[in-house]
Amino acid sequence: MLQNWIRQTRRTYFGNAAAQRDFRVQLRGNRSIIVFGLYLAILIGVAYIQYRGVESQAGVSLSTIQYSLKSFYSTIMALLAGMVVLITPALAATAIIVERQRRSLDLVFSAPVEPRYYLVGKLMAVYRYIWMLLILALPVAAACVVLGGANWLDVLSAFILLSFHGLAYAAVGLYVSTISTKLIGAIGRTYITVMVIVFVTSVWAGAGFAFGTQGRERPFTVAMSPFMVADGGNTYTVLSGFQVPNWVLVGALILVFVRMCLLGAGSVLSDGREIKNLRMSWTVIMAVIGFALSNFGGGATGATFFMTRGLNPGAISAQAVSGTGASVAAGDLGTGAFWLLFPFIFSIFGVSAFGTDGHGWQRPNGWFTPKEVFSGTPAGALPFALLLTTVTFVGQYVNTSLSGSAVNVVAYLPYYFYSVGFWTLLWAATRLASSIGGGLKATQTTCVLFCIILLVAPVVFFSLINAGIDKPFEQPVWNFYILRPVLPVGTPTFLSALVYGVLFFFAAAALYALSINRTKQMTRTLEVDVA
Amino acid sequence: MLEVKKLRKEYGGLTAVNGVSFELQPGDIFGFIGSNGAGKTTTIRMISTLLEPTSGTAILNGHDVRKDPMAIRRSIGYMPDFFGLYDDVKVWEYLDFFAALYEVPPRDRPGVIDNVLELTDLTVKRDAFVQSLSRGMQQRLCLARCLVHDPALLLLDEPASGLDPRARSELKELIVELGRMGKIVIVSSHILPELADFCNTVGIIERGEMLAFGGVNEIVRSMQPVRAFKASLIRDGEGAIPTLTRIPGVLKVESNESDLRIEFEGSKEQQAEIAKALVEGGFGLLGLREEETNLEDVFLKLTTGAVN
Ligand SMILES: Nc1ncnc2c1ncn2[C@@H]1O[C@H](COP(=O)(O)OP(=O)(O)OP(=O)(O)O)[C@@H](O)[C@H]1O
Ligand SMILES: [Mg+2]
Repeated sequence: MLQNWIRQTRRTYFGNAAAQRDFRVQLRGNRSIIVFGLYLAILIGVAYIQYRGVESQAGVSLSTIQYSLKSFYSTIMALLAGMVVLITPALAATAIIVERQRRSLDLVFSAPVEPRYYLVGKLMAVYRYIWMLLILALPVAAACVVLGGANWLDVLSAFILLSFHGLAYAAVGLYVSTISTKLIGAIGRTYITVMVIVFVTSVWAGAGFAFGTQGRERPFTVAMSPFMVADGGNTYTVLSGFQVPNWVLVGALILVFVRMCLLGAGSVLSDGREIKNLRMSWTVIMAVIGFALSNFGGGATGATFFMTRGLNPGAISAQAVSGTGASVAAGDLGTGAFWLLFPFIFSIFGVSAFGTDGHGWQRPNGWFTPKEVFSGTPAGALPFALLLTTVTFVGQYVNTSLSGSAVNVVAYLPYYFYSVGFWTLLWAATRLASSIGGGLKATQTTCVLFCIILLVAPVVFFSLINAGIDKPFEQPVWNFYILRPVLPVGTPTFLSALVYGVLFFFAAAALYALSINRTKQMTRTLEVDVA
Repeated sequence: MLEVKKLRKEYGGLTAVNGVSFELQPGDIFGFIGSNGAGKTTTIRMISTLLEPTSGTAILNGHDVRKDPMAIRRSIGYMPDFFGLYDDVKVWEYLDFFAALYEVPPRDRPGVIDNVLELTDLTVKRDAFVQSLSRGMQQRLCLARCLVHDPALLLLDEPASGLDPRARSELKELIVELGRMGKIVIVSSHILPELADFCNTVGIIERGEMLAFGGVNEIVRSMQPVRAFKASLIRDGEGAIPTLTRIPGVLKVESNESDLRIEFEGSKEQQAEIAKALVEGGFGLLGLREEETNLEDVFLKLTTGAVN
């Protein structure tokens, strides 16, 4: 058993055939020469122009020069980050879809190959490519060190971080590639997703610089943006008395993220055979993240800062002033849990929908079957949403109790209630959309529209009517926005979470009730078809 | 040994394969015949573990496709009805890639690649890019790929489509050779005659159901239990009918001007009586020969050709 596992793992990471093949092709022909040439030209060109800017300041004070050199280094690193952000998603996003179009995937999977082996191989090829880009940039980075804008440790940590970020974007690309049917669609979706990730992580990273003050000690979020590796790379966080480099923490987070992307892609490629593995991993990860981030950095309210206050610089500075040791408020914790779970919005429609996609059927096999929680059937969707929410909230609660300042349950529970209601509502909407019978694609489109109307449209509308007013986000009209209880502006109360939670359940029940008859009809037609 | 047991596949409401069962021994070359949409590809893909059967299973040398797909994959070579080749690699690189996927140890790979290239007559193309090969060569490369791990079972889905007659006959030779090496070979086709002369077993599938399974001759006989003779006469044949129907074993005689078609089921002695009667009756017998059993006819008769 163990021996077999070791053998499989060694085979996956050493001499992976998919990686070798991809790498061979990547380096072949004029294409790579053109890409590398262009890359170097841009890099050296920008470096030169920047350097001339620094040089022209001759005669000004030493500190100004030093500052310019530092910003020279930052610019070079940001440029490298830009290259990684631009190049890696495209490499990965095409990987699977091109093979699907060429129909070579069937051949690969008729060999004794697990999806994991193949996906890891693809990813390794991309990762190696990223390092090639970074090593090509070494002379420019060396110039920074020689001139005094940075030291070698800065460069090394920045490179490692950039390679990790590239890996994460490649994993996104790989996942999108497996679920897409068209090349352009895959590339477009990958870039959009990567842009969102870069934006959000950059906001967190930027906010993180407001924290921590002694030298290189910073919250690990500062290392989460590829564009801030110059300043955020060579920093550390103190964990139980140890100075842990932030690239280690962010690297670990990214590896978890990559694993989830690969499991997702693998479950698509294996025709659902890996769904169980994927869902169990998600459950464990949400529990661990809930636990770890509830109290990150010894009471600096990591999770809440990380997920919510991080989006609101005003709140951050308030938090920073209040300093370490402040007890965690139920509202902050509950809000943090909600936002930790929020990415689930990308899959709630997929897992709840039923209907046909042209290849097969996803049968409406009931509304709530706890036994199916880890299988890919619609009856397991709601139990799974419930499970994820529960482990995240429990994880947070357990950590606060262990650290001796247990959160106030009465104030905390309404947020749990709110979160469960939120997912139940989206689930019910999917059920209703599915029961119309337009197929899986139509269902997903309907649900995305539903989300936009529910979550995005009010923001635009309320902002418009409040435009020009002092403190536009504190107007009472925002109370009508369903995410109000978990927004980092103003002072949300657990009471509003409770009210919205109840509303969610009523709305969900209504939507589900509407779908029951149609679903029954559909099940009947299906049975007739099969008979 | 391959045992296929009540394989069934449903797509939504459509039953593509409906309880197909058969058994093959090492060295068997099985011709799997059916019209478009009959369910050949679906069956083959289920045996190759690429499709999960709705019910039923297939067992190859003790490994079940549902319980142990990895073991099955190690001992099959699947050649689909499309190429699915990578065009940006060289022939040997392509084979090396698959040899690695099939867990052939690195030091054995060059030898294995040379062997399969020789078997498929591609040795001269070893360093050519895949995209530069002709269609026939690409087909052979696909076959070479299926052989890198020396599988016990080969699943060839319409391997002869798009090949010229010469390439077809070369392919046949190759398949016969593989059978001689003790492999089970499953070859699918629309056309029975194309397979009849080198398959020792034939199965005819229609609308997902196996209509007939067995040796080629058995199947033909089971479809055409009566033999028929054609006689050409100088004079009009109508007059010979009463004489002939009196002979034991003659079932039915039809005449078409000077040609007679005699359906017969009897012994050799009785068969000899036919010629004797025609000569002695003075009908001017020009020739008498047994009607060839036309495989195409058998096939068309068996299958209604109307799929879904
Ligand atoms: N993915 C699928 N979804 C729905 N129906 C399918 C799918 N694949 C095949 N079918 C149906 O299953 C039936 C059998 O198809 P199959 O491809 O096995 O036939 P075949 O005998 O290989 O035909 P051909 O000679 O054209 O290759 C057909 O009616 C086909 O429409
Ligand atoms: Mg077919």
